[in-house]
Amino acid sequence: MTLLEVKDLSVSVADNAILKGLNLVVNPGEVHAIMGPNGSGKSTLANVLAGKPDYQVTSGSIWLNDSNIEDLEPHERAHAGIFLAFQYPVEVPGVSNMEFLKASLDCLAKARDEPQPNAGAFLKRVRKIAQTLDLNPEFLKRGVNEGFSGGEKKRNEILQLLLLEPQLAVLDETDSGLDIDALQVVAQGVNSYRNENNGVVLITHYQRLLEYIVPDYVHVLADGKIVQSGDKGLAQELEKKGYAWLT
Amino acid sequence: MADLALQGHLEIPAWLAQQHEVKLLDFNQALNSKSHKERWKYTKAQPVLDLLKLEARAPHVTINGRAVTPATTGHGSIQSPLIANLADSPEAYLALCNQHLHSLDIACSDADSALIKIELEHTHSTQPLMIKIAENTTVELIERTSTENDLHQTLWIALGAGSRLVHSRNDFANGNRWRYLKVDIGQDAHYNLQNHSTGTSLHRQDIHLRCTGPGAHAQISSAGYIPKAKHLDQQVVVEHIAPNTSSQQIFHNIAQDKAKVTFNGRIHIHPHAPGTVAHLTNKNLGVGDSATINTKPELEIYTDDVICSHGATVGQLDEQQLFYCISRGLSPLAARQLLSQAFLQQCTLGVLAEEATNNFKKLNG
Ligand SMILES: Nc1ncnc2c1ncn2[C@@H]1O[C@H](COP(=O)(O)OP(=O)(O)O)[C@@H](O)[C@H]1O
Ligand SMILES: [Mg+2]
Repeated sequence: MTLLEVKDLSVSVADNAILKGLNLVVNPGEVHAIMGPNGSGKSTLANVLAGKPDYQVTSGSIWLNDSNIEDLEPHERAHAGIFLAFQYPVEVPGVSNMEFLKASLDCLAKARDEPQPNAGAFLKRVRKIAQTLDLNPEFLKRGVNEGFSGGEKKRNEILQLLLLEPQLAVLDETDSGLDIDALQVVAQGVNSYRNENNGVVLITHYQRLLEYIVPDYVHVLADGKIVQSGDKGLAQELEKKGYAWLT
Repeated sequence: MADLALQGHLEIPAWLAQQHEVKLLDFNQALNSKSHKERWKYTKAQPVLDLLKLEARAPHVTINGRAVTPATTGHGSIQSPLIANLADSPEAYLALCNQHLHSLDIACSDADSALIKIELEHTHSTQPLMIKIAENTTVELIERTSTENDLHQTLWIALGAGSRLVHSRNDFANGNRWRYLKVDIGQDAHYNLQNHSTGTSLHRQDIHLRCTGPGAHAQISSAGYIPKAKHLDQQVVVEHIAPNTSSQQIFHNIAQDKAKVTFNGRIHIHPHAPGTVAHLTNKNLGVGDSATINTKPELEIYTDDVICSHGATVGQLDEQQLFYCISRGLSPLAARQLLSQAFLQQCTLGVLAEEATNNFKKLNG
């Protein structure tokens, strides 16, 4: 069974064709890095996988565990196992981070027919994850991402990833804006999430992250298509030569 | 608009007539003046005038847990905060004409400087109450309304120099309401109102704060949830009369389908009040279709050297925030409820916050 299969996907935003026949197969246990110049459609791919409104699938299809998911609402996709770490995580003042995490986890538990975690165990678990990510527990009381620095927001996305344990993690430039220490912390978090049943689509602009999260495949997205695929050696080549030679 | 009329048999008590030179003629003028019509543009005034005819009882008051009977004030002993312009609120003067006036004098003895806690429980319309807080006294005032009966309620507060009052009030019961609150804030005194309410078929709140002494500070946080086809009208005036006074106001209201919400917030900075800092925010959220939201922040500034800001917005839930929540597995409905709650939570503060939150959740659920 494939975890994710994207078949010949074309997507428009506000009548502009952004993705133009994209193919991607992710098997359980694999990490796929997607690299590409700014504006090539990386976030569009991430958003369309998560089901963001305003993205129009004009042709092709998306399959998760061999089920077609295009008609699923975003929350149904989350229930089915998709998680998007946002490139620009949204601030939600007035909702405490803790409350938000609990609400998400409860919804997912319900959808998976699992019992809702009890409050004490939940609290303990969240605190522990926060610690591994070097996030001050005070952050858990603050509004979701409210007043967080760029790096703190990204770490908060990984905290959600580790707590919610989705089957497919789509990480959209989780490395951008991180200093080297934070990058290592985040990479460690992602590595601890990895197992033989789940998969990662790792979107990044730079090769740097891939020194810490070693991908099984590297794809180059340019002008809405995967124009080149390879192993991590491809990332190193891109670092030296840039993207221009591919397009 | 037809002229407003008082019930025929109104008599102005001698003490009021003497002290404020109030005449029946003035009432009719004030009730039918342009500014009055403006303040009552979105809420019919006549039902409120009629409400004032309802029998009112002495307010239920406890101080530090003990029931007390406020003094019935006779003639002549009334000073601030009653002295004000009749035209500002003829209804409030009507309440004084129609009902007995009660007064509470609160002072901390030197021996015990502990916090004084006053609780007001409204189970019916109450006769006007005046609370005078002596200088350097710290008081917590908790006000709850638990009746579904129609209710009018007038509260006059005077804060002495250096005193502190945190005033929390919840009103989540049904029933028509007219609530009048007037506070004079003396030198270096702080007043903080934490106001949480729902809408009803008629719910009108008049709030009038006056920073009368230098260094006075006024603060309001207010959250309201106005259910389907219900009404809330908030008329707020904050006056800066003395120099170096400050005020900070934030009002968040959510209006459901066909609800009608009015917010009118005026900041009035008098001449000779340099160093005033005044901020006002009013945010409204329409959920569902066709809510009517009127918001009008007003500034009247007669002094240079002030810092002043006011803003009002009417909007809907933020799409990015909604998607963020939904992408984490919340249903669209759950996400809407969470964000609505958060919007109110930002203005739900103080000792009654938890009770208010539970009420908002019920309304929102
Ligand atoms: N909501 C949108 N409305 C209009 N154009 C958009 C929108 N989102 C993305 N685009 C356009 O789609 C293209 C791809 O954007 P994006 O997927 O964000 O690229 P990347 O993440 O690779 O930098 C860009 O040209 C961008 O301007
Ligand atoms: Mg992007």
